Amino acid sequence: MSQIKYILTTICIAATLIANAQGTLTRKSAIQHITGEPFVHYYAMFDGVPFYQSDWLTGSVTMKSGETYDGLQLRYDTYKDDLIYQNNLTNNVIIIDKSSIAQFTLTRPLDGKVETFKPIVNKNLREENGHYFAIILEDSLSVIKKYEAKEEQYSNVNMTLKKTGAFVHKESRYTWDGTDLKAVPRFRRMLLRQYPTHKEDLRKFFFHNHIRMKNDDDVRLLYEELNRLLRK
Amino acid sequence: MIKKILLTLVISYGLVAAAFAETTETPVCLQTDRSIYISGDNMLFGVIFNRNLMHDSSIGNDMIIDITSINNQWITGCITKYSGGSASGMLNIPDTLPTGYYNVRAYTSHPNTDNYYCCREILIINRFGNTPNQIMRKNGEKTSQKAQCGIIELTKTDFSTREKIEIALSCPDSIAATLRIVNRQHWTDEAEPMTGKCAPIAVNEGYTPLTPYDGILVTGIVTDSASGKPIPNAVVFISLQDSIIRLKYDITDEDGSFCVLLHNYYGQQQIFANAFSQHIEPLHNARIELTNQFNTTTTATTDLIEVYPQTDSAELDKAIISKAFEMLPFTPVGIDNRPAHLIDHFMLGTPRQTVFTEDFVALDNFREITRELTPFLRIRKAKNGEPEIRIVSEKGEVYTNPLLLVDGVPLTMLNRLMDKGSATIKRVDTQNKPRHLGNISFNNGIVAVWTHKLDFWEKCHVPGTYCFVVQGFEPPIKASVRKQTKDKLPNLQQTIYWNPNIKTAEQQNIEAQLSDETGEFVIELFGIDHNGQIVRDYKLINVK
Repeated sequence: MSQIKYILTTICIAATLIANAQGTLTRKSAIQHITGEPFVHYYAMFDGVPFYQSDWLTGSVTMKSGETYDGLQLRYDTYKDDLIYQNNLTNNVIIIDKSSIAQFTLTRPLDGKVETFKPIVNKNLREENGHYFAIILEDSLSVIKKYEAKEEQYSNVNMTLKKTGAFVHKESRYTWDGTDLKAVPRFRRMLLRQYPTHKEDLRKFFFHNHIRMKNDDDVRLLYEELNRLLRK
Repeated sequence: MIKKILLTLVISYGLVAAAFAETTETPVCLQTDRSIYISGDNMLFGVIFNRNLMHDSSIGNDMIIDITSINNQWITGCITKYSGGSASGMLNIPDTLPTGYYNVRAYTSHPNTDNYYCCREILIINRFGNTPNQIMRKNGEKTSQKAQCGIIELTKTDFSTREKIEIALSCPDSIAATLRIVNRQHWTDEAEPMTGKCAPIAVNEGYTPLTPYDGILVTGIVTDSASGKPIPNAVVFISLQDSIIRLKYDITDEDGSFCVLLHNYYGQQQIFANAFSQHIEPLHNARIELTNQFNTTTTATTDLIEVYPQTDSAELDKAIISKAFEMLPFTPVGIDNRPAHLIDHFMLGTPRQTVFTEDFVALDNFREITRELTPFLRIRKAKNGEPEIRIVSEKGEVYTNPLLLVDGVPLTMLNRLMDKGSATIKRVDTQNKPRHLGNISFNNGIVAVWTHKLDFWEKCHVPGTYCFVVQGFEPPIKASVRKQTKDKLPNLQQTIYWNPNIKTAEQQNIEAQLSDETGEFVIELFGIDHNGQIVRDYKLINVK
């Protein structure tokens, strides 16, 4: 019995040593060059959170120069359109410079779905470095999605809770051809009106695939077909 | 009269022949250790210039070697340094390449590459049988026109497998050359390589369109200049003098070592190194030395490559045997594992204040500039009597000793800048908010000063700031034949010997050991004499 205890203790010690050794070996990989400014909390007076999801998400960031960092703790601030990163080594929460980001991904914890975001610069968007959009489809006519949080002031402020308003989340889909942003029609008939030359083909596609314009996957399928038709 | 006519004819013929020889002379000659490779192999190469280019300083000293498909799609490449009219190195052939003919190109980085360009065709066989239906080939078979000038001397021409072969080089002149022994099946005519205009590289569809070259790996050690002990956990900044901030960092290990990859930099680069504490306070006693092999010497002829018993040849079944035995044809020895790429970044962010001194009256020194033009910057005397810089934010917060960069390089002693006025200083950028760069925080903000000529560091010496000239070239290599062991593993090596660093004046006798491969082998010498004249010689031997 004492021998078994001895063996188990040895295994535990060895496992601890190996784990620590691994930490030392991978220290170099912790060196990274993400740049940004400190994040300051600003939403204490509002109900809800101004983020893409209510918790930190695991994701990756690809810089414009091609460098990619995986396994980062990220939050997408949909109110200020900022990407926030928690550096566990230094315990800093940093707003990553938008001008340095080529794209980032966020993995949803519940369904494991990975969403890719890219900053898109357009003359209609006032932001100099663009606005982050989730990429639904990337093609000659891309479909992108904008997440926004807007503040809504309460008409009757409950002073005991000290909340003056709440963050309201909104999602809107656009098409992007590299220069222009156009809203994705909410109804089928509006889309058919936009593309009269492919009306019949699209109508058949709607019929056979039961496309619902509110569903991201359906919209992706639809625009894949539309891109194919436009290339003809 | 007849004599005169004959004399005139002889002189005319001589002049025409000389002119013809000059115009047809190959400017750059490229030789590879074989002409057939299995994907995943390492290709050894040697490049030799003719006498016109040998002493031409205007073309720089770096030579780019790359492999492209015959459609000019870039596949892989490296940069090597040439001296004395020759260069050599090694290229790894990606193991995903489909079977086919490919071009190996050698060219200088001179803008006018038309005259300094050489291209050679090689056949690459895919290791895993990824063979397209039709192997594309651009050129037809070439004829062999080898010169034999009697440099290589052999006692016999018939050998048996695994026999030791002794080669004597008899040459009164000093020749820098490459000597190789290769199976004749892998030996094609290399007397007349394709020369001409360097074709533009097409968009690479089959492979990720990465930039061709990784960059320069900078490794070093930080020690205490007084005690000589290594300094752990120091932040080492590697920076370049430039009009934008190009600054990379690493945190030293317990042994004081650091490692930074200057991504996309190659050739000769001047870099600056500073050591700071983790709170971004300068370590004035730190001594920084570079240790990596690529910048200490470019003439290393040590055995960086060892040849193992290998089975690479044009026959795929042999390649499968090689894979089954998990034997690589070459094993690079002593080359560091490269860390993740470190690249340029947006360290300063968007500066809160930017001032151009040209827009205002001329000011004599930096103190006056801060007083008159940048009221948010203040210079005060520190407790030790040295001047120190402070940033005052819009809210009135005072940050003492922000990181000060001059022409992109951290300056640890402010007094070196104090005498510089608007005649020298062009622009002052101030970031009065804390900034983060990776795992480092600049809590006191950043001040970046730029000079008109970007030459501050050429005239200024600051203790603790080290300037290094690093060279991102492939080192010349030599393949040494592994000694035969008593095991029964087959050794089907096709290139028996490869040494691009032969000096005939110093090395008259060379020994090599043949492999288990039978057939005809070629011993070839390919070099350049002290006049810049290209010299070639070869001998054929039979192995039974």
